[in-house]
Amino acid sequence: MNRFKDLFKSNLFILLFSITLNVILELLGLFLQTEYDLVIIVIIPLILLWGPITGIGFCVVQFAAILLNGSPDPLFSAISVILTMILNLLVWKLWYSIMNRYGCETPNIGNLYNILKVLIILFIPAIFVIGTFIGYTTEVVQTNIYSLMPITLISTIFFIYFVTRFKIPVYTPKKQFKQILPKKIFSILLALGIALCLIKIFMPMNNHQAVLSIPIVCIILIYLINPYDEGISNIKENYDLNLFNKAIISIFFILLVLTVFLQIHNYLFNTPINQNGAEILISSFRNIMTLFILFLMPTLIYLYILEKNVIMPINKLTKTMSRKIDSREDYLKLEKDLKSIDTNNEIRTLVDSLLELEDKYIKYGNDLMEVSSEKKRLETELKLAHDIQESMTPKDSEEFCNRFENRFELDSFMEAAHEIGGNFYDYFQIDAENIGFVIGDASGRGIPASLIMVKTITLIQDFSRQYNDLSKALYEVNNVLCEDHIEINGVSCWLGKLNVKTGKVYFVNAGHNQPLVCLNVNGFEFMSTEQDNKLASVENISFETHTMQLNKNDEIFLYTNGITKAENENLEPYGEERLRETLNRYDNNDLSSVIDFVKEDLDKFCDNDQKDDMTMFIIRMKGGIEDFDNIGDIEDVENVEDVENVENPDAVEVDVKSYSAIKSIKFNPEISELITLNEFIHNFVEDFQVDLIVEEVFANIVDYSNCQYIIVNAQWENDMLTLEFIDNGIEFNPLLKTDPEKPNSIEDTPIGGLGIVLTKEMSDEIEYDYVDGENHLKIFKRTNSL
Amino acid sequence: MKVNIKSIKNKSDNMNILKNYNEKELTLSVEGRIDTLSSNELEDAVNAEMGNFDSMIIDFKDLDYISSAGLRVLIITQKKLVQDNIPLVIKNANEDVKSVFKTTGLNNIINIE
Repeated sequence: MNRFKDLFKSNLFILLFSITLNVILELLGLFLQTEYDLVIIVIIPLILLWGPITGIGFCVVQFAAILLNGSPDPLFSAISVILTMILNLLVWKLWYSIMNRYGCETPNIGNLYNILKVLIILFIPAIFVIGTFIGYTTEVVQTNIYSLMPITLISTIFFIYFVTRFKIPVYTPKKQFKQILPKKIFSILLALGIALCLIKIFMPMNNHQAVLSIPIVCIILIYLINPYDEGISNIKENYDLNLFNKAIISIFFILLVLTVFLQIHNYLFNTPINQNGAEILISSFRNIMTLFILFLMPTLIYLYILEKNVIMPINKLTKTMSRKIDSREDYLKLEKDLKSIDTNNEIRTLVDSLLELEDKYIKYGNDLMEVSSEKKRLETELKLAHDIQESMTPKDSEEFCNRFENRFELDSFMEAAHEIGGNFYDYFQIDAENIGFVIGDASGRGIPASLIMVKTITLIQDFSRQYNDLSKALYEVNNVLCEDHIEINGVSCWLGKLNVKTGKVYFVNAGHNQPLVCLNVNGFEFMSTEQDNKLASVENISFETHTMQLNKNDEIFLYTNGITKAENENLEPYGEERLRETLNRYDNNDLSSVIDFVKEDLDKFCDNDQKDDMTMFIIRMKGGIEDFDNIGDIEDVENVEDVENVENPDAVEVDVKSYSAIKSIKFNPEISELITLNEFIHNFVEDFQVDLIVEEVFANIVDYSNCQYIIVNAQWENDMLTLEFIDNGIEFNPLLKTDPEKPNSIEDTPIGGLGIVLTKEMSDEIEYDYVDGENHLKIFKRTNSL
Repeated sequence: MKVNIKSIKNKSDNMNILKNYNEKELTLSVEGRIDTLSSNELEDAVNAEMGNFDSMIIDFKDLDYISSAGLRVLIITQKKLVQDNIPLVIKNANEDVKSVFKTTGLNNIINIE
């Protein structure tokens, strides 16, 4: 198809195309034995579309016909052929010269205006042909023109349609003429020419009228050099096949059918030919006008309304909407242009909807800009937060180890799944001999976890330095974290304190993953001490301090569950056992690459995205243990499992100080419970006076209060033991009871009442309160035993 | 790994009484603890020997602890013995036990050596 279209760019092809069509129509004329010259049906559209070259084709065929048929006056025939060709050239000339309201375009029928233009540029040459030839030649010429005019119009429309439909290139004027005469002169000349033709047609003057042909031909020749008013470079190619094209072509198809029908009718009932020009004109026009008035005109009016109210607004809308809208100003301009679209029907609604849409589009565009800038701001802040968080964990382990004469070495690693995370680790100096090291995991991820982490790490540092006992420190940390009553699911943490001289480690495990320890180069094993509760979940809970001994080359490896819970694509977790095996596989003595080794293995295991925060910490004793003679003890308690199996209530971990927390126990009011109570108290302290107080108070409540239960709370803090006895018996304030006089003789001595005396004397302070039907007796006893 | 665990035996409810007659002089050696739970046992032991002696010595050499329940037994015993003019002597009490007598003023009415 494209190759076929390209052929129309060649002048030679156009010439051959023209000759072929002319020959076909000549042969058709012969075949039908009609007296009409059917060639006009194709030569008009051919000239309109492909210009003068097709005119040459016409001449060639006509000359050949004259030669073959023989002519009574060959010269006259030849001249009339050339004259006809020149007159028909007006069609092409006029298309590009007049009625260029929508700009100068290649021939098309995309709107009603162009249809009218086609009508006009066809009738002007027709009038000129008749005006020129009337009086010279037989009336056949005129009859020919008038009778074939409607079908020529139809064929022209069809030609234009096909050119538009298949986008076939047309021949546009290539040469601009010089403006020799003012533009108006050409218009006047054209009008004058038409007037002369009409005079010649309607006022027969016998032989004199023939003279008028000369000025008519002259006028046409002059008009042909009229410059194209738009200039040849401004001719727009218009091959748009719009709705109007299709409407027109269907209407003209019907017209074609009607015209063919009419022509057949004429042919059959053979209208007499020998009439004069005016009569022929009138009779032919009658046919044409009948068609136009009955069919074409109403259709054209309808099309006009359609075009004005639908097609033009839509075209304008399309053109307006294709503009780029970037700002409010653009939108306001668009709104103005759309409002100016002249329509009051459904198109108006459409335009209004589009305006609304455009308005929303601008608004959403602005919103989107805001959101994305907000996102950018958040990203920047997160980046800053990340840097701050990173700066909170210690970096310079070398300097830290140096401070303690390199008695140990350590290495650490932390990576958050997002910019910031809830994991933390820290190591810090407590005093000249002790360092603290901690790892932890605030549940959750991202910003909330990281904020909790910051608070926890700060509190742990503070309290670890303030309290000698780690369980006490964590007790305080936990209570501060609980104070806030924020909905968090706890912070797990493993806090250790290493005496760098003795190698003794005190540690507390608040719900954290069991660390791995490597003792005596026997490979890493998991610790199995009992885990306490996580931080920040329940207030006033106690923690237990455990101890262990590190010797030269012993190691502790701490990690968070981001390591062990990291999953591969089959959703299998990395797992504790794999971590242990990996650590044991590492056979290099260089501590600094242990963590890299584990990380490498972990990356190999799961190559997908990191889902949780990951932290690792390793510490190794390097020396200085010789001062500490404890090797015998180590052999005693080598098996970690032993520790867990101790469930005997009589057994008390001597090295474990659990004093910081309040412990509570509840009894039935029976004196035999005293044994249990004593055991409970001995967890805190074993002291004669304490025992005495406890027994006297307990026995007193059991004997006299008539209660259902007795609760004893105990807390040991800074050498001060606080005991609280709560019972729901009858109200009794021992402080109000006056002490009996010291007896002088055995006869005066009362048998009872000594218990209260003893209690008061032995205690440092006693408080009594009666609340909600309960006696609350609080006894403070300073004791420095144990 | 080393975690030192030591089990501590609870010493309470352990009271032991040894009776020893030197002619009519009874020596009661009380070991362990005299508390609310064990004081009845002491009272029963004293009551069982009542009338068999004309002099009584209570030896607290191995006594760790005494509460008001124990004192009550001693006061009752002393009251009875005073009526019969039988002397009662408490010997070898440690400082803690002595402090109890002192606090309650019993050191004035019971002979504590």
